[in-house]
Amino acid sequence: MDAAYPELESRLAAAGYLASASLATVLRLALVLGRPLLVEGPAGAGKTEIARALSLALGRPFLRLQCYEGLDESKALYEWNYHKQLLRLQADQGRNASWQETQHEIFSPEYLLDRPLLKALRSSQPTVLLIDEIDKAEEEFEAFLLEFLAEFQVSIPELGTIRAQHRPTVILTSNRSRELSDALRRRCLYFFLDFPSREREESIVRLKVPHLEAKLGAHIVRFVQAARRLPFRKQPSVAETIAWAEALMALGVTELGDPRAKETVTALAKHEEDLSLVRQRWASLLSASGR
Amino acid sequence: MIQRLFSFVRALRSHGIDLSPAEVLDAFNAIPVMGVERFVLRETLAACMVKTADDRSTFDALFDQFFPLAPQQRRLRQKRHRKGGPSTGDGGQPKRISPEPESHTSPLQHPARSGWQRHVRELLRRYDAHGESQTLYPASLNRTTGQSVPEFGPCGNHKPFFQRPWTEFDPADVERLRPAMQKLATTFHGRLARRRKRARRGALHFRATFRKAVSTGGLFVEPVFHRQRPRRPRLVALCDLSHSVATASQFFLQLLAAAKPFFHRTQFFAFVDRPVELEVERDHVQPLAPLDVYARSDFGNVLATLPPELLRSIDRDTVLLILGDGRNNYRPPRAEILTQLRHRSRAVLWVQPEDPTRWGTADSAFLHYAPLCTLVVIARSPEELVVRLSRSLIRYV
Repeated sequence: MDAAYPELESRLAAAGYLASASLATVLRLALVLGRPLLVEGPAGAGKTEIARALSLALGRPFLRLQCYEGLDESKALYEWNYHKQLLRLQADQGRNASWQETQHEIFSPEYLLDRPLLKALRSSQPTVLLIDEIDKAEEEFEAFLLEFLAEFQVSIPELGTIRAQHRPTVILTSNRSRELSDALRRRCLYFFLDFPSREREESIVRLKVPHLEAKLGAHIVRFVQAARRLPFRKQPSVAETIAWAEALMALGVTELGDPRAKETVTALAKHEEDLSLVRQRWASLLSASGR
Repeated sequence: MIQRLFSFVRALRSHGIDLSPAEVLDAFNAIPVMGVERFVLRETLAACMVKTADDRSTFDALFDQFFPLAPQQRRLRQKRHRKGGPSTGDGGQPKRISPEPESHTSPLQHPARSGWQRHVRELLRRYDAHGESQTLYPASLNRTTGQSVPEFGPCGNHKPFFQRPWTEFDPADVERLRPAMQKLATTFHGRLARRRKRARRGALHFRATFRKAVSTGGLFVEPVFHRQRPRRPRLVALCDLSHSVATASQFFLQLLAAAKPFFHRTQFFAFVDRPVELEVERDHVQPLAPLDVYARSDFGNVLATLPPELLRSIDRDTVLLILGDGRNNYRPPRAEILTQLRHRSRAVLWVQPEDPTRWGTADSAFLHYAPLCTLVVIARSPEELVVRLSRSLIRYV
């Protein structure tokens, strides 16, 4: 019965992303239903990576729309290439073309600048579209996305409605810097991506820093997992675990007891307060790391 | 199966998870494609029906009641728990319906699968054959799980709820209102943002439009509009935390936390009989010094004991926002200090949760304060607070 995309998990792993069983299930669901997937979770938990890995795993082109305050349709969807249109008008001045013809010509797809959303619709093969940090865009843009996400079509006044040839697989991510509207949530599947369990984080470190000694890797992960229980301003994410592991390896540190290890925690803690917190609790964290 | 899903949906709704018919349809469409293996079913339903991380724990608890593990499996897990062995409940690994080592039999004949899963398959098959009209599962939960679903207060339509006057909210319930406050705060932020955007758009800027047209060969491609100089307002909020306005002030602080980005700088003070600085974020409010909420409220004293550095820093860019009912327990109102503040600041807005008919009655000194304010915002319910406060604040951001 559940034959849809059975190897997704292993293919994601081959693409360098170790998805939990829950995430793999939800991704399969999103693919089967053709629904956009909204992923929330702490920064650095690997939300953006999901889309990249999915495009690799499925062998589909990857399109990315980074949201920011002030993002509007012309940046997200399409824009007429004014300069090219003007050039065309000037080049045509000698020719006695009727206004009808000219208009028809300069408002043809040739003069359209595709932005990511339109690109995803017009693509001749299925794509993976990442709409990153949707919470950074304004609510108006969110409302604008609703039509796109529900119908996978957009209307361009001069060209008519453009419908997707292939439904793109859409992944939206949010850091919860503001609450998203219920209307948007309703149109998406939802997944909360938390920090990985210890075992999985160990495998992630093994995968991303292949030359690291296995024992040190395990210690690092246990250290970070213990550190996440401290009241940090910004909790160390998976990306920071990897960065720290790389830093330690670059210095040739072979165990966390090495005094040089304590100097590299800047890779882990990104705030003054967090840094002093780690240094304060260094001994207890070390013992939690099982060294 | 269908009946059980429907009662599951009902239970989710009665536990405060807003489920639209579209989401329920999504879930029902997903089940045939994804299959009914317990773990997959749980994740599928969760992805379709639970749209915020906060609701996930409620969902999981209910799911366990409606779709319990097969009896053998449950015993196995309990045994593991007693032994303190590896927990299977972390969601990191798929839960197996059948224990691994006995996989020599075909999965379908396996005794551990004789629980709900076989039942579900059978029911699904019957459902496909006969349609929905049959009641396949009696609604009583107790027979299937031996547990009942705990009752929870009624939830549902939020609109009349937000229109209720403050007196109908129990201050002890404030914690339970948190999600509703968050929702309102988002609305508030959105209103301010939209209104500000609209207010900033000015008239057509002729010269700039001409200049721009030069680069496009004299064609007016893009009109340019006058833009308002960005203001850098400062906000100082004084918020009464005494019992009589407790609910209103909690809502008020949540709204202001959401409105922080519109201001250059914000400072919050709570008071009962003297001001204490507050740290206000979207998810928490924390006094920076001990605050006696059981003291007798005295706004006159608050005005008299405002920190001198705060008084010095109030200037023409500062908007002073006060929430309170102005009930001073018959103590001197010290209205002359408010007059001074009014002269030095850009505006003094007073948010009054009380109905105008009650102003000046008993120990209320509000009639002394009201004429001194730039504007009195009457906010008798959460909805009025959002609508009127955003309308008034927009002039200053």
